[in-house]
Amino acid sequence: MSLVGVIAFYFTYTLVLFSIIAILYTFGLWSRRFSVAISIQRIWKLGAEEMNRLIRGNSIDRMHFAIVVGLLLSIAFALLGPALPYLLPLLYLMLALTLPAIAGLLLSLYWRLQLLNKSDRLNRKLNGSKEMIFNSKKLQVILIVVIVFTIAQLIVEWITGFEWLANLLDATKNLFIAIYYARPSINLIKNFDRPITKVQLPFELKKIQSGEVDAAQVKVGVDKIGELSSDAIASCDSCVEIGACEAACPATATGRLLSPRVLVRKVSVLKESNGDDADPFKEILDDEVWSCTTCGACVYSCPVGVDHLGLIYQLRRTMVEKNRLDQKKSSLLMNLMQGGNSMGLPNYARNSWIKDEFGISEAREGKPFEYLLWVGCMPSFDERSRESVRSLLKIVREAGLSDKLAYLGDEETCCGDPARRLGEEGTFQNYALTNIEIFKKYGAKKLVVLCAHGYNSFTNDYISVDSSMKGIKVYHESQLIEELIEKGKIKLKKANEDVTIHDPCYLARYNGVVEPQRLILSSASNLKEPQQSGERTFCCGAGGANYWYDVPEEKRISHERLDQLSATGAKVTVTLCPFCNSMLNDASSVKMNGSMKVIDLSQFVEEHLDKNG
Amino acid sequence: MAKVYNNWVYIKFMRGLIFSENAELGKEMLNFLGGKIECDVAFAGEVGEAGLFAAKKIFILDSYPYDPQPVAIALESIATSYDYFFVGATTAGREVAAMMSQDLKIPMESEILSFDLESGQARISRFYYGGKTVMEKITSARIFTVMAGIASPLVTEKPYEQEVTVVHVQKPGINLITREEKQKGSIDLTRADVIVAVGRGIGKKEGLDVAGKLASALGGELAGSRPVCSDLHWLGEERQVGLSGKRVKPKIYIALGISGQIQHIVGMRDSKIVIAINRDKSAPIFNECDYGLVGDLYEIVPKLVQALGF
Ligand SMILES: Cc1cc2nc3c(=O)[nH]c(=O)nc-3n(C[C@H](O)[C@H](O)[C@H](O)COP(=O)(O)OP(=O)(O)OC[C@H]3O[C@@H](n4cnc5c(N)ncnc54)[C@H](O)[C@@H]3O)c2cc1C
Ligand code: SF4
Repeated sequence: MSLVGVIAFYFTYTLVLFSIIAILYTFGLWSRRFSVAISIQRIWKLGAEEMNRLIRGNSIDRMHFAIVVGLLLSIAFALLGPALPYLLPLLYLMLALTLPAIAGLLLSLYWRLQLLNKSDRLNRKLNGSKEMIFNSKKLQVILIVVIVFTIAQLIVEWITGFEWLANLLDATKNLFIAIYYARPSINLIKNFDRPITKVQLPFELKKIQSGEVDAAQVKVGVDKIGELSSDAIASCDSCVEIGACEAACPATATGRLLSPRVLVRKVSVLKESNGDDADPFKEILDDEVWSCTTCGACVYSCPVGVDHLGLIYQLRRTMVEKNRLDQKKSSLLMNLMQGGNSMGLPNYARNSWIKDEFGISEAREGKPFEYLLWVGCMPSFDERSRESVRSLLKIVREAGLSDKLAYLGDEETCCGDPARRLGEEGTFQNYALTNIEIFKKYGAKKLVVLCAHGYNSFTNDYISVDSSMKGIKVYHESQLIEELIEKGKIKLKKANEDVTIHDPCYLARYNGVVEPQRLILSSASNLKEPQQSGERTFCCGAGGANYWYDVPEEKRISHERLDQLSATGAKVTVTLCPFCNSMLNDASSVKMNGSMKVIDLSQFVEEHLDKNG
Repeated sequence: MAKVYNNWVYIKFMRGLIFSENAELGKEMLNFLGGKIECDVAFAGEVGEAGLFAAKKIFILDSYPYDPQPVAIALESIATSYDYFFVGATTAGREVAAMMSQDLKIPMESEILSFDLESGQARISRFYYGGKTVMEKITSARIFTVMAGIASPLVTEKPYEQEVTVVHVQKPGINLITREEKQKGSIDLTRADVIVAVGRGIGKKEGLDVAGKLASALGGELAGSRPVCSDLHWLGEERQVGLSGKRVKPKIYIALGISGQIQHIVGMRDSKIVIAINRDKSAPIFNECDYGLVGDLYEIVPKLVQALGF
């Protein structure tokens, strides 16, 4: 190497060292601001989680992984630069690794360039301010620059004599990382294992009722951006326009007025340009907030741990608080507050048919029981949906458990989920407290539900209201049926029939219940998985109280999902939630003249019972 | 006034006051309460109308503003000589009754179906459980609202001999500034008396003509199920009835080729008379209707139109 070469190398190497110090400095800064203790264990856990995503994830996860590997590799090259000529095996290994990394980076580059256009259109459609649109482009271009620099550096590493150039590229890119990516990285380290099920409580009704907390002091909803929870703000500020949320969002996919990316960026930019006192609804449209089905796909897929949903709940509560509701939403609330169910039908004798048809007793009759069946709003009132309960009760009868089951009759109301998701926390907590009292009164230890929303409410939401719920085991019908099969109480016969499955967001993504349904279905049919399945399922369109209201859209979410399901070639779809069932059934009858049969898991199992076995 | 002697209730003389801004409803209430309690009447209208009420004492409100508050105050000023109050359940009447109840600290029951006095207490009945059942109870309430149509109006042949008092209503706190007519062309299904609703059973858009003829023969409005309105767009979305459409309560609801899924039913179950025409006799709509015709709507409807003389 010539003297000039040596000087150039060591000069640029010093720049690399400085840039790495800058990264460490900003990481330290943000970890203090977010009060995150960065420990080896936590990073290790995060690494394991990332590997897990790589294995189970989709193409966006893999691209994201390629970027992370590329970045780490490029930094390793630069740091170890002076030593590498003496560590030839390591050098060759690293060079070999550059190839898949470059391929992944090129793919991400391609995706990002496409996104640049698409996201710009969305920003405008969703009423983004000038600042927001500019900022959005800026962040996306920076990400593109980082990718391009990383690719260039990895290529240059192959050419001897140009190490100085590689160093220069690395140092520049590191500065970008220090400035723009330290905050999201710390946010990720803080939040990567935060469960989607967690909902921040604006108040605890129990404490207000007992007088421990003064109701006058409770503030629900936000008038100013500064009143958003610090977590929500940190979340919004951490978004770096990756766009994974938007790619996963069913609302965006069907042309509703919502992109989770745009929503969090609006908040962040508005806060920056107009300060803490800005009214969030200055830029956020009402229908933007109502378009969300709370499916959680955005939170699940965000590579930097942004909690879009936490923000959405706070905005919805604000709108409910201010009564900015159309007739459908307000009549849902009226029905919940006055009628004891979400359907606006008389609660009286809502499921007396169970006793008439199956002779199962109501809890208040005082007969001891093991399982308490929560029938749910849909099957209580919708004749079509009752079929799923009938099937479940026939399965229970086949297993000889009818005597061990009871139901609540007129004491059953709503689980409260639609109220919480719409943003009426008080009504939700009221239901939760009342229901918990009823469970206690009858000493219920095991609850059986057919509905994914009921399952989630009882397993997660209720515990945050009253920890005694931890003592109650909640079975989704899939788990109960699996247990019955495992214990040999029922047997299924295999049919040579293709079926596909629609996982409910609130069961699979929220609660990770994906195995039992697959074990059951694959033991009795040929299970054809749709592209988006298991934890990565695509919403049916009913969640987040969307079942009861409409928002502008180009296509129904249920129709989009039906297309995905029928792409498997199967003519039968098995659902695990009465709401999904209703949505997809309706889609099938409108779009396919009913040629996709949509049945509940219990109906499938009943059809495949091997009564001789 | 009722007096209590040694725990015996001695009914000396119970008097009621009927109020409705709508004179017809006032006469209906007079008929409804006839023989049960003697009532005087307050109404808002012309002095000349007073003689048409079969009541001994008539109060005429000298104005009837949009603000229910001064109306309630005016009625409270004459309330002392009455034991029971019956207010016509119009939009404004309900508010007036509620305000009187609040101001006079007298309990109130809304939309009663019957009224009787029993040992000095009122026995009433009203709908319960969303209209599924009727509840009867003895109540301490003394203010009631009464729905229109509960009885035919009590007509007096010759002018009644009566004492007429004009009651001054104070200036309202709310003033009417302008009135704006609803946009022409926008239909309001929720106010229609007759609705002919079509479902996917009409099969093709042209089928609307058949349904349309029936609707115009009956002077009603066309409506549809969700598939017809917002999926197939044969009718506008503003005509959709159901969970994600309008909630309607016409006097007559005719469902043509509608299967009657619950999402549709919740939008029309408050209709007075439901007539369903469907080919499939096991269609759930037949559980919700008063008259059901099993058959092809294309055969039945033209005959109906003909029978109606069109
Ligand atoms: C979230 C959600 C919200 C919904 N909201 C609404 C809503 O607001 N309003 C609504 O209506 N639906 C709503 N639905 C849809 C609802 O579930 C039903 O799918 C829909 O009501 C069915 O419409 P239909 O009765 O017109 O069609 P179908 O169910 O297809 O019924 C057609 C009927 O026509 C009969 N028929 C066919 N040919 C003839 C003939 N020649 N003569 C006589 N009868 C004939 C058939 O026997 C059948 O019963 C909603 C669904 C969901 C999931
Ligand atoms: S929760 Fe689902 S619908 Fe709502 S913004 Fe996130 S991805 Fe979109």
